[in-house]
Amino acid sequence: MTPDTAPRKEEPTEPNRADIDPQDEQAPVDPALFEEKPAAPPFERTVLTTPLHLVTSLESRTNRWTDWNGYTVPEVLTGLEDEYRALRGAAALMDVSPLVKYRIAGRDALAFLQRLVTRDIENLGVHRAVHVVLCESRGLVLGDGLLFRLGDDEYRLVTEETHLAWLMDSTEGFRVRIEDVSATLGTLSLQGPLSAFVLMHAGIGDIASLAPSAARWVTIAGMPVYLSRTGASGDLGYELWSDAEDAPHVWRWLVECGGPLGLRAAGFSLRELARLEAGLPRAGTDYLSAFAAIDARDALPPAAIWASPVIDLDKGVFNGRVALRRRADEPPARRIVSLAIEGLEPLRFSALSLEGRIVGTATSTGFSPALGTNIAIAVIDSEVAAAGALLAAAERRDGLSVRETLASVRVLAGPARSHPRRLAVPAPLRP
Amino acid sequence: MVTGGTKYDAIVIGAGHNGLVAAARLARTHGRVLVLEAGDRIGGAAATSEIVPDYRAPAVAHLLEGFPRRIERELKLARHGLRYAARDVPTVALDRDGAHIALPRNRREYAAFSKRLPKDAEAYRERVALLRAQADIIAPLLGELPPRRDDPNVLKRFLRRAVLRAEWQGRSALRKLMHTLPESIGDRLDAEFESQLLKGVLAFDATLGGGEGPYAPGTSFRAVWREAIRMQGQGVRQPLGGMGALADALAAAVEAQRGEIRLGARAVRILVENDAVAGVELSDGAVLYAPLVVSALNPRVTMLGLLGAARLETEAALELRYAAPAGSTAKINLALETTPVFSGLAPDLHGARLVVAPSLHELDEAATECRNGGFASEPVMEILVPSLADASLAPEGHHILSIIVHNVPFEVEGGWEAKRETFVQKVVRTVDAYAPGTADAMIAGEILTPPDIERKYGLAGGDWHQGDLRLDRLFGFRPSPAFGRYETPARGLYLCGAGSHPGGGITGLPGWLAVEAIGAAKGGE
Amino acid sequence: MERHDAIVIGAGLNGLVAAAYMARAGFDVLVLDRASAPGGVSAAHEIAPGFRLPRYTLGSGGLPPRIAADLGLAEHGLRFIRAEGGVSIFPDGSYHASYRDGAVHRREIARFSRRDADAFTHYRRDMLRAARGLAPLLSGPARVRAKGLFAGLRARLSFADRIASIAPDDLNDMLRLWALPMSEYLDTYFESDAVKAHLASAALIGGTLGPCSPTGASRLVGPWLSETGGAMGGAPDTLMPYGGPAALVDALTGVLDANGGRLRLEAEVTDILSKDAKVRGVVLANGEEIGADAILSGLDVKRSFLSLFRWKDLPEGLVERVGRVRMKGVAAKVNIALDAIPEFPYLPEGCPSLGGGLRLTGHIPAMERAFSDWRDRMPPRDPLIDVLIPSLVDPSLAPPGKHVLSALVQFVPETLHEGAWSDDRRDALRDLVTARLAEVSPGIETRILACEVLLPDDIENEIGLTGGDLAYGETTLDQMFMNRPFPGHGGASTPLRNFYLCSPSAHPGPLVMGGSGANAAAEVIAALGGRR
Repeated sequence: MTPDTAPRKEEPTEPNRADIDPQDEQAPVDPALFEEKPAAPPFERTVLTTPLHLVTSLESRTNRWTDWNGYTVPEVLTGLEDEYRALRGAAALMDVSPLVKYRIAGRDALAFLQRLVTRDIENLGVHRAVHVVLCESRGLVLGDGLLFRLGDDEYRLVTEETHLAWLMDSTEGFRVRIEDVSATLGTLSLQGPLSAFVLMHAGIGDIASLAPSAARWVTIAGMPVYLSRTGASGDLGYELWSDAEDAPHVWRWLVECGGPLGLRAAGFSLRELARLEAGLPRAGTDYLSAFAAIDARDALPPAAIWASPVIDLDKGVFNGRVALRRRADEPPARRIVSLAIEGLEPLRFSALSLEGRIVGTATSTGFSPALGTNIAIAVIDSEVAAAGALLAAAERRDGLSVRETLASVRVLAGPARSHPRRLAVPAPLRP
Repeated sequence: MVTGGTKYDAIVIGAGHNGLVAAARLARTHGRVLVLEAGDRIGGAAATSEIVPDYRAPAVAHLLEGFPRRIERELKLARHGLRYAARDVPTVALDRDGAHIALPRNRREYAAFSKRLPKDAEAYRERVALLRAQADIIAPLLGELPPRRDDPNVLKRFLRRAVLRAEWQGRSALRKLMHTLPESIGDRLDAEFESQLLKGVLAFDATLGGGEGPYAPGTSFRAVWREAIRMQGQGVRQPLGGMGALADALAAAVEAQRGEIRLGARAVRILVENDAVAGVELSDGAVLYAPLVVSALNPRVTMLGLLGAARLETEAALELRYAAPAGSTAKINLALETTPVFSGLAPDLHGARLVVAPSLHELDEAATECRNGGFASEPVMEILVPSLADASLAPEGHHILSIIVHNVPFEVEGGWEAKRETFVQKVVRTVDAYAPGTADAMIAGEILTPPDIERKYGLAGGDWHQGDLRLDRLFGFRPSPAFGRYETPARGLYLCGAGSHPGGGITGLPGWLAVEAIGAAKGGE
Repeated sequence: MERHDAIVIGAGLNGLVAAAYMARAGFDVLVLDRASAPGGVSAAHEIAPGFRLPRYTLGSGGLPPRIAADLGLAEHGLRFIRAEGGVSIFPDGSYHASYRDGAVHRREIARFSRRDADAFTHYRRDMLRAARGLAPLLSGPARVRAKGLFAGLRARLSFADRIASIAPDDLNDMLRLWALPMSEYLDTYFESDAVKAHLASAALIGGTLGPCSPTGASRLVGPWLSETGGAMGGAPDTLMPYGGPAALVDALTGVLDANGGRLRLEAEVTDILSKDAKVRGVVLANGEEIGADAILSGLDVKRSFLSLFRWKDLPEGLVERVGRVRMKGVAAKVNIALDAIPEFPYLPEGCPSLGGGLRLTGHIPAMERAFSDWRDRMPPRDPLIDVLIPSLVDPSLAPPGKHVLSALVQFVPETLHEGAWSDDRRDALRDLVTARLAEVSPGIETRILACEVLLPDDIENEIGLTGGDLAYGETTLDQMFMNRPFPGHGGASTPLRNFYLCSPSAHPGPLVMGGSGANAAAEVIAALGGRR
């Protein structure tokens, strides 16, 4: 090979897996079909942006950006307090396109998913969504996500982290196809008490009738949008899924219609604060996938992460069943809890101690304007979850000096905030 | 459940020797047993084939090495017709110049041996003693159920027993055994012996079936394991009437207990209801019901093919990806119209296991050739003339040569169709060099390439030795951690083939122990 | 007769580490070396005026932070550079780089397979778990001799209990790592040939196993053993002493000096005085005798016993045991001085991974062929070439704008099947290496100012390393841990009283730089009764 004749820019050749019709029973099943070209190598690419980058950057008054799953997204657009007020008092609109989205289709899609997740999804109706947990064979959590049923044999799994290796390893014996459609979909999250009202103003009829976790196809600004009543805010909220090219138009239209009603565009920080208040642990932050946990203690069973995870041991074979059945009565050694940490100003916390011994770690922290106190999601030793004398350590910087403070901690029984409106049917149009 | 299908108490899939052992043992305790065999004869690797009328040869394996006495006795195989034509068959390393080496079995033979190899005799005695001692540490563990995985105390007792057995032999015995785990047999033999021929024959046994050369790490332990397998049995024996006689005796034992063996019945699906096995569907659509199904087929076929990956958790299914390595053994049977005479070999040794493995170097070359899809110009092999001890196999004055050729690639470069003839010629030419006149005396022959063996006898990868022996696939981790104690996630479905503990070879132990596991599971309920 | 608490034979890296430890513990230490400069295989070497690089080794890798801190090497001017994990360039011009940053590294893998980017997370977990499990084994002797009646049995039983207490699935994972060939092990994680080749090629360097040899998978853990292995979620990084290994040697001699230890050069030890399996001193080439309470040999195990002792002084069977230790040359070293920066058009501009090294390699079957050739003692046709251009991250090693290039050619036999290496064969090897370099860096051949090729035989002849084996003994598992230097003798002490091995021939060998020296010093200090 001489350098002149060598191909300068090699693209790893993916065999041409010509479009296999997932409904075609005769088609050879090949799960590895991606719609996206292999990404450019690191150090040759510029900023990786979401389909909504241009419209969100127009809203940015702070020029504060952050990294979410490799995408550059706004951290704060105007101001966190301002955005928070909109979220809890009216509505907030956020770009959540960096979420990982898999399309799972084929004759055996249902059977494949039944084996993949811990809950029984046999009765999941078309245009319905449900929270699912993925475990490995030792009954430890790999991740969680929202599973939508888009059609008879077509599903969409939305997760925080990627799970492609696991999904593809699990396809043997199933006629199913997995596609990573993350980059082809723009996703907007519209949350807050007035979110239904905003959608009504945006021209969507009969929005109130859409039940929690239900979805339907609608037209917004002339664009087809898959609208679901889902979201991670602990309040009424919707998520809108559309083609990447359509998403900016949908965004603009919602901002235009919702602006007069108090809608604000918001950044990633607000999403984090909202889920923190709603007590929703985030994969990779509050808990680690069992495949990423170097220290075996960091790999947790579902019961350690969610207060009442849905595990249907009798639905048939699923990943983790044998192990979960074995430890069904065994309380986990560590668990994830929501905490309120006393203090009137935002502080960052990590170590949680009891009588001088570190018994846990605050994995997400934030200042909840609603409660007027710091809150956190933390992983702590189970036996101290009931103890009262927990202390959280924080550093308080003052110029060049630093002072360590200890604040007392209260373990919350449930999420810091969860409004009944979230599940109300019909959805309230006015606060 | 659909009614109308025939009901049995237990169904065994596969009438190889392991399947038959399981069936015969089950039939005594578990009621009506049905054995399904896809082929048109029983026996699997332990079968007799007819090369041409009146010339019968061991189809695949030709000697029994590790068949336990207790199985023979409890199944009353002697009453069912099992006789031996030869016991304690010796091993001879054939030398090109006629200076063969017979591995000594007793003091008298050892004297002759030390005359032939004065420098290596002492080292050989030490090696045999060490090998036996090391094998003795693990041998008892091979003949019993692997430890349960859900109770650490069971595993603790299991390991402690091994430690104590080792301790019995001295403080450093355990360490020495651990040292063999990653060691290569070639390095070990190079350190101990001078005679290339002796090293060749000793390494031959350690590498048989694995497709690896003598310098591959881990082959030293394989010699220990093979010795431990031999300890399960009663010395190297040749059944009267060929290996098929063993299968026939086992079949008779099954039938004596009102068991039924159905030939030409190919299982295509194992039926499961509510996590429990319900029966077996055959290729003709017939459905047979039984609450207990025991499969002697290879675990991959059983679990992924018959049961279906969908009924397994992802990792359990993935682990079956590590199938047995493609076999590297071919079988050639020749019918001769004369008595073969190996030049320089004493007449009483003509019935021995005759090993052609001139040196470690040649073994190594052969393994490299095999990995590259070719075969050595002088193949490494093991020859037996079974008709010397068992006149029933051939007409008077005529004989059978049963040849197991080592390091034969599963997929040969250029394809087996094209290379078959060349291969046979190479083997015959090699045999002819040791026993002149063989080629001329040949009146018929048959050859089984590794793919033939796989196809005809259902042996995964076409090998029946301990070739797939690997440290992470022993005891309760064989064939994979999820199915280690013959059990499967489907209640009532058990594995009993060579894919399970303690593995390949004609030992009947996987079949025997699978039934023990069934009994243990029942007792535990 | 001159007397010291301890004598160290050979001022190589491990010898100096051992001496420095002992000197800091208050021992009166004398280090003897026959060369005119310290360093052994790590000694400073100028290939052309102003172009410095280690003559025999690649020069990457740094002491574990623990040893550097224990000895206070920073006070003696030692600094480490952290470089990314390196790049593999394949014959078709494609490449795979390692990045410390997890997100970046996963993005890199996703170019080949998105599935494998996820699988890497899993792989990394398993590697780090294995490395953490191994860590306690690497410092201290591999085998602690138990004292007292039944103490050995108790230790062995508790060993069994410890194994039994491991969850079966974890136990199986461990067994797989120690039993499987590298290629099969990688197959269970990855689908992309490039990803597998990148990981395998890094692990093969310096070893005598091929990618398909059983037990080879355990070598994959090597790069993760460093205490910061993959700390940022990506691939492990490469640690390099600023100024090259020579700087490490300087710092160590500095520590020795500051603590009253002595280094005597051009002093070749020809004999060790021993009686009744107990050593008491050394004899130099000039006939001078020096006594000591402990003698540590930094030479390889074969030279330590077979050429320093009269064989009849050695305990029975020892000569045979030492003779059985396998030492085989497996790599040749090519040193090149460049008068300009080499360009790599296949790599993205400014790719930082290049600083951590460059491997010219095919996919796994090509590596297996190269390994087969080595076993057949053929001159390499398509070897695995590990290249380091240390001056990219450490400009002090070459004149401004110029560079030094170190290449280790893996799978070069010590002797050829046709006999010794001829000059033609040697030239052919040099041409092969420059041709391969020119494929990935066009024009590099015109920038070569100086070039030298060192075959395993040259390495043996020049510094007396048996077989030219830079690993000081094959690193197959039957020669590691409790079997290093020889079976059942894992550690620095030997069957001869007061005689210790402090070279990588003893546990932990080349797995940890300086580890054998540190372990030997710890054993000597314990045996001679602590601090003096």
